[in-house]
Amino acid sequence: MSWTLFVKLLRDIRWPMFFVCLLIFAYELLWAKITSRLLEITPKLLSLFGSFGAMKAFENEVLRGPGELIRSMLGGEMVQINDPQSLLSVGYVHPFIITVYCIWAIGRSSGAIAGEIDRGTMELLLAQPIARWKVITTHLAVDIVTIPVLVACMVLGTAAGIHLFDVYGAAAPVVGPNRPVVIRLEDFARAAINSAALMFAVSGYTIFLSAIGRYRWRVLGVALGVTLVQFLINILGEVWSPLQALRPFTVFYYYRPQPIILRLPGQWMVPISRGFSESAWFMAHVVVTLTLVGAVGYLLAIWRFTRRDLPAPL
Amino acid sequence: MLLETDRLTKDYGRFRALDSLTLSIGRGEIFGLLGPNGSGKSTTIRLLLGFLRPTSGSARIAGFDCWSQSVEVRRQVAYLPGELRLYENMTGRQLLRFLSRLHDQPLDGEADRLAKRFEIDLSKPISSLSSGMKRKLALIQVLLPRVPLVILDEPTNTLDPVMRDELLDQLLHAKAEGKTVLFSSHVLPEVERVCDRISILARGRLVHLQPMSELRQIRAARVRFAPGSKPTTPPRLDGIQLKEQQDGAMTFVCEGNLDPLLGWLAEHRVVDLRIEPIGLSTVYQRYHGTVS
Repeated sequence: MSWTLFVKLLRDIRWPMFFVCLLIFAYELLWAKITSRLLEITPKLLSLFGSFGAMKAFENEVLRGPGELIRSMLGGEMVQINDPQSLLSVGYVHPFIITVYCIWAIGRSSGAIAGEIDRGTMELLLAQPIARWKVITTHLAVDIVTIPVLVACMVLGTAAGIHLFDVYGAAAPVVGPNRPVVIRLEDFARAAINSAALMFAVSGYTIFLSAIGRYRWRVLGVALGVTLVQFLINILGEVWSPLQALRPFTVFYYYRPQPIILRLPGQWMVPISRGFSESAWFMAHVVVTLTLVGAVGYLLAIWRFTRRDLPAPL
Repeated sequence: MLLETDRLTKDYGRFRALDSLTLSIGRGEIFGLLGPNGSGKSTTIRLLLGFLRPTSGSARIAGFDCWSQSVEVRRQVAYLPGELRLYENMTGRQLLRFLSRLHDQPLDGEADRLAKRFEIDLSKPISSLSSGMKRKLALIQVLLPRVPLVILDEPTNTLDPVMRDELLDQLLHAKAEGKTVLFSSHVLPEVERVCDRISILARGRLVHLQPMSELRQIRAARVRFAPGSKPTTPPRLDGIQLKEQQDGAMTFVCEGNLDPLLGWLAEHRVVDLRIEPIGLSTVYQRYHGTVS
């Protein structure tokens, strides 16, 4: 990588990065507030329904059919209204946070190569003694530095929200007088690794598209389209069996922060044979798979960008 | 030789943008690359900088292959693109510092000296500069690095006449420092003024290559004879060619010594004689018709 270019790239994104960090932090803060509020009204709902079982039955009835999609997007069966840890975990799978991550990854990586070619500044940069592969690896270094900062803001938002909106206090009546309220922040930090890997995967295939493209908006459109299709396949595949076999081919299938936060068995692993056969004959590690997707994207970008002609600016 | 190309060819699909260009440029030379749009000038420059991969043939700068060793090549080169795009979010000084660091060279007082000569404020954001000012800033970034070769693609575009003169002076200064300058241009007088050698490209082919000193030796002699005394046959003299003849007048192209022509004219009744260097425009017109 080139240190000079690295510093310049960080300087270029410092303000957008600051605002996205703020947005992510504020969103998780808000989600902690929502969790606190949900926990506060749970005793009232309980008195209405009589038991948690009746409440669950009502939820199942409401989210039947097309409503399954909503439940699928928000973590499905894993959400327990009397468990603050599971309620807070919804903030990590909510489409809003996924959208923010994807837009950041796509926006930055699409501009990395195609954007500079489009603006004509790539010619100025590559007229200097810098190898093309170094341009790509410098963008990789930027990802390695910025992505952890973004996901750290998510965890910090959760941590700040828990204390600011007294989630412990709101959960105490729901959990019961003799049971301690358990919120393990370290589990949210572990889940953030999965979020970082998702962002890296999206950034990886986008930078490949950027390395073969000429116009930023075209690359942006294709990358957004590819990402949206993957998102829809993953969501629809959960409720519509013909699409189930395609889910392992989407990056979102490997985005499972909830099992990690809730410490469910096999929390880091997903079966990639689902849809082909009932038996889970091969399991994939969610972080390793997403990191591999990102790494392959970067390698393909280097391979293609070092061999292509650099078009003249329009 | 600092720069050599050997049958350098570039195809875009079925279109041949550059066809078997063989060229050598020595150290300390100012070399002009002429031709209209689409003649292959920019393609040649982009091949030299490793922006494009040659379809066949090769180009070398300071012994390094322009495609496979392009980083080493660009360590030897400072380049001014024809279509100029700068980082708009930087100030002039930040841009110069950034580019100097990529060249592993510190930004010294030379930047301020050049900024003063080109009358540009380096503390201003590039986004606030006019296109002429941006051009000046780009020229400074080309003149700053201590490299043996400077490549300029139509460098005087958008410059006012005073700054154009200043640039040409700077090119001569670069030459005096031992740098080689390769520049493409449409503006023939400025090429004539500074170049040691020129080449003319037409449809991707090198059609003319000549030292300017040689070109300056070629003169056109327009002779008007007295009525009824125009010779019926032109002279057969070394280095003298009849270019055209009209009623009572003949135009000759003379290379080298004029004595034989003047001796022949002394035998005839001449009423008017004009001798002037043919200039680059005449050569250019031979290949491209009207002069840009």
